[in-house]
Amino acid sequence: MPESNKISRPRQLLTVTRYELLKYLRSRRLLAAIILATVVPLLILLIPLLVGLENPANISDFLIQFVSFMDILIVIGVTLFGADTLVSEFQHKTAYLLFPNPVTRAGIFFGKYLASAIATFIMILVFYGIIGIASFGFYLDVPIQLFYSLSVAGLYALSLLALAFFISSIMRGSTGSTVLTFLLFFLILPIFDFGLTLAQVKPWFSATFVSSMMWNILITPYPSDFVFNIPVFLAPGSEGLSITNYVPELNLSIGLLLLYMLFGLAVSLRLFSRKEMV
Amino acid sequence: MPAAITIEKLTKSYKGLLALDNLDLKVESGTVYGYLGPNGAGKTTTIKILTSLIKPTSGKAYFFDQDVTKEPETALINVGAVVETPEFYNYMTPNEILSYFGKLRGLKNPEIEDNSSRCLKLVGLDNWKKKRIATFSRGMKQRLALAQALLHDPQILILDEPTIGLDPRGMVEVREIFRSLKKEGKTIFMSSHLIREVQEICDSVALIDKGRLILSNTVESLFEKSDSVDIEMKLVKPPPPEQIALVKRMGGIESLTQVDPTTLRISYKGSFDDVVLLLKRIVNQDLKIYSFKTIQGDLEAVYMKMIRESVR
Repeated sequence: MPESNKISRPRQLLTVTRYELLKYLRSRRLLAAIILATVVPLLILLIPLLVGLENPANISDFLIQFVSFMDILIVIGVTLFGADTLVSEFQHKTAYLLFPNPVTRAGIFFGKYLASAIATFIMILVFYGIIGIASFGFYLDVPIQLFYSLSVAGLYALSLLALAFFISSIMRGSTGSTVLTFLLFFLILPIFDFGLTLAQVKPWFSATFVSSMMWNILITPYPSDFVFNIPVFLAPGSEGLSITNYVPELNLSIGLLLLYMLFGLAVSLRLFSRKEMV
Repeated sequence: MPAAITIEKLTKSYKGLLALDNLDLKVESGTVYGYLGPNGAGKTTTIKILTSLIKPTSGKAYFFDQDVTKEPETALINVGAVVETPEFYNYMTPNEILSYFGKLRGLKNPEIEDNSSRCLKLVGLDNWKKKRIATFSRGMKQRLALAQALLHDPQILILDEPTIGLDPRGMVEVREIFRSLKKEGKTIFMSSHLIREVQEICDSVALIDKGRLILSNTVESLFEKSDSVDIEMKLVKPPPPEQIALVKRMGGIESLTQVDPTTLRISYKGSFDDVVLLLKRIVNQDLKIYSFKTIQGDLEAVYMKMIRESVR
């Protein structure tokens, strides 16, 4: 017979993590994510070479052409590993088995979050690993900025995962949760960011806007907002257009991502803990 | 020693609809307790509160002295449960599922291996332990659910319709498992629609309707207390309405139901001697009876009577 003192809460959390990762393995989601994280940088690397283009002279320009795709990959990773993880327990009625165990809802929640984070990090690491190898292969250098970019990518993934968990805790079905998560981060928020930029309003508070930190951090020194003019011949009938290229401020954006992560986790944990298996 | 399960003034409402209404219940340790009631009576709501799937609006529920509504993760340590027909993670095998839940319950690997092997054998799934659950039938999932409930050798089992989805042979096998658990002194609290199953296995029963407790007693006491006899008569041909009306007017008859054109069910208040007299009087009415049996001692009759009274 089990005793209360034999049950270790950290061990329970890691057990949930382990079996969530097994789910990603068996459902081939993790495999799909790894294939994607391998194919995308290889295509970016090989296509210019195949058409006879030279690599950029500047190593940071070389790295930026890869990392500028990282936000899309993270959105895909977050959708694969975070969008339906909470809601599926209710929708597929597996909660009838899981919840009557002597495990806290917080233990289940953080176990799942850890698994989602690990799976997304594997995808990010594969991507950055390939970039690092390519960087060393062509320039015999792997700049420290690439590690900064990797760190920002990790933080961005954690924040988006927390927000995806929030969506998963309020939705009733896995499909709805998955679609909403993907559309929100892939389409709705970027359109919102674009609209504000056109209106000359810096969307510093938008989670997707700050993703450009991942490639801006590769530039030394870190850039600031700048205005670029569209020549008259590209905008006939006008005197030319001026558009501001907004760059997220580093410290503020890191703080914002941490805030989104804490908010997403706190609210979704509360909702998940209170949700009933009616 | 405190009761294995104590429910105190348990109330649950869903958007103004009262599913449980101040329910009080006590299940002594080592008993097999049947929990009966019509659909929507509040059986599953009670079980969901006991297994921490939902929170009560008010009231308490204890396993021994641990309040499951306050500290479910402590209270559920010695509890195994099967609620509704659970769905499993289809990508796993029975061995993996039992390993998962064994680890959550603090069992060590050798213990998990031994217990899994024993439980899967007990429920007849030992040949399927390495197959993906995605291919399992409903009955097999029900067996696996029972295996996971027994995995950690709990003192208390909470079972919601435990034989649902099983074929007749499976039902018999599962009832045998319950009997052996009863001998081991386990406390079993089970809801069921199968009244004969409850009568066969349980020591005590509780009957609820509209979220309220109608009765709670040992199965034996229920029959001792019942002072009426239910009688079922089969006739050669359908009786004319005037003959039925005559029988209805006979003394001691509480109710008469025409179950089908040639079957009458009578609830009669009186002793067995009185029943003999009743039979003579009915035969004298020229009703051609080819089968006559009393069904006193049948939990179903007590159940139906109590539900009828509850509706009134």
